[in-house]
Amino acid sequence: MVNPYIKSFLLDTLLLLPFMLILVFFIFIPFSVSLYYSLSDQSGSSLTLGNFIRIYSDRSYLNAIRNSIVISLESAVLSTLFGSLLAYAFTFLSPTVRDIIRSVLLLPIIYPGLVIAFSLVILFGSSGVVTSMLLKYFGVYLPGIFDVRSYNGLILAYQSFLVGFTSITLSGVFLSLDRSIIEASRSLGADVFQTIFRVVLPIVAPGLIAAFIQAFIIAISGYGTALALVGGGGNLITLRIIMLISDVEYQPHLASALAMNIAIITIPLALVYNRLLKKVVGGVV
Amino acid sequence: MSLSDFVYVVAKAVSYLTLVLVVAYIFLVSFIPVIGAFALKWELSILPEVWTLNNIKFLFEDPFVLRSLYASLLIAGITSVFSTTVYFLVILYLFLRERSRWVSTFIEVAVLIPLMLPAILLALAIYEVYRPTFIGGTYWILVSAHLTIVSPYVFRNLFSVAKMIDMKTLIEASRSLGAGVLTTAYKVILPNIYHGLIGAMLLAFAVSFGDFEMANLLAPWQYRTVTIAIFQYFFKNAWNASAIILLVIIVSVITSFLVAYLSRKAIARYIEVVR
Repeated sequence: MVNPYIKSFLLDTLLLLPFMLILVFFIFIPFSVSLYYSLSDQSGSSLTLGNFIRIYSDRSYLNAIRNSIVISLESAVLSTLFGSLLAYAFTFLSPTVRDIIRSVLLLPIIYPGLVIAFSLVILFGSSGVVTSMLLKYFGVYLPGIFDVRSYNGLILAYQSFLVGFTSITLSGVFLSLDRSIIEASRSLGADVFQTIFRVVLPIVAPGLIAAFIQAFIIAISGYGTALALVGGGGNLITLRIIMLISDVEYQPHLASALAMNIAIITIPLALVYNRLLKKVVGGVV
Repeated sequence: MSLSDFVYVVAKAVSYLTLVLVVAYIFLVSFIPVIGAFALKWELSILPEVWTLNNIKFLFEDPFVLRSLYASLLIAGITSVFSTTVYFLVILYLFLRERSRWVSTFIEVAVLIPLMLPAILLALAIYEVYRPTFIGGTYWILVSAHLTIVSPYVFRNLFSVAKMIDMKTLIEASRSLGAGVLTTAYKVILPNIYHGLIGAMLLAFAVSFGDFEMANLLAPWQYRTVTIAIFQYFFKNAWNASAIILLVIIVSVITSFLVAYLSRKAIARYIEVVR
């Protein structure tokens, strides 16, 4: 008879070992090495902040960081706005219709961002279907007004899957919002703005912030859409990282340092998000 | 009509309008390549002027596309089976074993790590560490990277199904009736969580199949995946690339509907058992 404590310990180990192996070998070790790379130079002799100093003193890298943050902020604001409007509309719909719309919204989430970018190029690119029709029948040259292969086009492309995330996260919040609270507020004499700002907003705020953070993280960390839409020459952090480990210019240390800049932004946000998620019902991931 | 009634009506109208516009936009960008895959000439009308099946034929004739399809199926298949097994074991641990709160919090946070760290950072890190080693030139380097990014999807899906079928009560009933841990796992949990397992597996498959960001960095030359093929063909011939995109769309659509169907089935089964 095996000692029950040993048996129990063996069983625990057996159940958790594969997960721990993945965690250690494919997340912790690579991340630590990457962190070490970002803090050392090509010769690898001693720890240095050289890579970070180089990034923060180089105007084009600073621009890349600024572009990434600005684009992600704009995408997140827009998608949270659309997401909350959608979630509000959901409250009027029957559950069946809601489920159908939800599955349509979920589609682009599994898609590679690449596909969305290419669809937009097919439609609105300089020789796209919509562009040439507009030019022929209305004499309007679309890329002159709205160039899809630019940062604005990128924000448009991001909306296709960010709205899915935000609306589904927020629909849980809006659906659980008790109508009687609003009615109570109004019957007690509050006008519509007081009801919105004093009653509804405090309840939905955690959900709004969670949706916003989620959208921001997804927007700042993806690069497939940007690479397909804006091209390798675009000045975004992620695209610069790709350039730094291409054959043309191989600088893994600088690339790691740049990647750490994204991590500095996303890790604290993700921790806040994780906290908020406990207050929010539902959500995609 | 008072001001608040007016605001209410406007808000409702605006939200409906947004809903219609957003759904139309998503439909449009999601399915344009489906039409494109059958187009030969498409310039000045709502639908292509000249239709063709050549793009589909191209799909089965081009050696690069065929090889990339094989690579993607292989990598996504391995990833989905591996990840579902691994996270199923974790779920078993969480529900079967007496555990401290620390361990479960640790697991919950650890599973979400791929959401905190951008895919490009993880891919870059794995690239730097494992490129020079023996797995560097094989597809296992991409499988290992995919094992990390699918974890939130697989874990969340399995966890919600496990919670929904009230696994804790099932386990307690089974244990109190004298079944051992392994019997409980095999005879009680597995049949009940079966739909959840398939759903998680499909989701992992779709995520791995549709991944471009990690594959672009990590895929070895002989194992360039379907998404890389799309990227390389798009600027040569958009309609040929659309045919490859069609494949990815089919996988995604089938997956998302099956996952929704299976999770509903899991609930239905649970309700039946309770009755």
